[in-house]
Amino acid sequence: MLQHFKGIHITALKTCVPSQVVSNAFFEELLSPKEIKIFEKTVGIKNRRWATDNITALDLGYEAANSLLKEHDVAPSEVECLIFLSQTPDYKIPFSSNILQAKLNLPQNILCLDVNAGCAGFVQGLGTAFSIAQTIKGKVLFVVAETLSKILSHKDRGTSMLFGDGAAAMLIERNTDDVSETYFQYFSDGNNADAIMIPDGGYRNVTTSHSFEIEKDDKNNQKNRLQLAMDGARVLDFTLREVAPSILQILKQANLDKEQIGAFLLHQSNQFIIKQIAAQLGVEAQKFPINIDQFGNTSGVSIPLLIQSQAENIKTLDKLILSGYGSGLNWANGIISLKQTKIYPQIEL
Amino acid sequence: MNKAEFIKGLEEELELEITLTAETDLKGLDEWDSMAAMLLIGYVSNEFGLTLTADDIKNISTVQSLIERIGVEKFN
Repeated sequence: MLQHFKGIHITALKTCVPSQVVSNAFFEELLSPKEIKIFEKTVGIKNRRWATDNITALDLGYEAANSLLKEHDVAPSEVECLIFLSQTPDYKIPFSSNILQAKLNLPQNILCLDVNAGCAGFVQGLGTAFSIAQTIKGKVLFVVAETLSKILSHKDRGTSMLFGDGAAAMLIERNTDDVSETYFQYFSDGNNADAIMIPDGGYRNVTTSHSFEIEKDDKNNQKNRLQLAMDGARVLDFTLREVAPSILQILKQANLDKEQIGAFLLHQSNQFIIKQIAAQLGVEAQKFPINIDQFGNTSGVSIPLLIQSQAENIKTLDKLILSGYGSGLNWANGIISLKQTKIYPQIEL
Repeated sequence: MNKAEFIKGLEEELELEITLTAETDLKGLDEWDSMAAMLLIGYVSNEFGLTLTADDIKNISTVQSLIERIGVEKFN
């Protein structure tokens, strides 16, 4: 599916990360020094932020959103829609955006919407926010927040080092004075739904005592059925096969050449993957900013964290590619300008 | 790049403690894991502009089988 918008903008963005920094030294029992060196060379992660036990994704999202509304001088009544996107919500019932509505003192005549989406979620949620913003006079508040650290087994080499926590809040609104164009394009491959999965805890496999039993694989990775399981080889293959052609496809549909793109803001899952995609596209690696070394893979939060860390550079560029890919398996791209976006300094919780 | 240079380069890329030969079973190496697979894919991509897939990685056994997947004619 392809979407095309004129005159809809992200007008402000604020990010929030946990203050707790976890370096690769934390994983010394899991990986040898040589393995950590190779991990840093390939995947590229050196540090990630992990929320402490009492901080949830909703808390991180609230801090980002509350600061954004204050700093951008937005009255609660101006927000007509609140979207909260996460795979790590506070509860199964009720949904998180409704809780956030009250915490932020937003009015009751509002659409609150939760989206359960993964690493492509930023683009999926942004497209949803743009779609709604096009039909209303007020602002859409889009919050993406994750605490993936809470679903990891620290004895699984395939996942425990990869993920970090964070949140971002954005205001999306219509401004017909500026008719710059935005495109979003989405893809899904549900045949590979089990490539990234928490098997138990939903209603297909309800939680039983068996869910907490530790399962070992042939490399002695250990996790239970309520923790994240990832088939790394299948996910790697998927990203190297699908992402670059899909970026060329959205460029073609928008009638743009890759040379017209100022920067390619790719989901920060793995430095190696980003460099491979750059090579596949035949675009110089300098156009693919990377901050995975600081934050790890924060799922749908990774592109907003990248926007924040590239704020000065991004403001000078006309057109940017956004590209997310991950659980589902899902992938989604966008072409956007952030010249109108006020990017506020990151905060910590 | 000739075969010997390729094998030497791969040995360095994977930071192996043993000497790699055409007959070495890559999957049997102590160092073989998903990160080694990434190093291998990156090395082949940089040298030959070829992206190995997960199926390729699954089907490769010895260094010689990797060379055959890349294409023997590409080594001078």
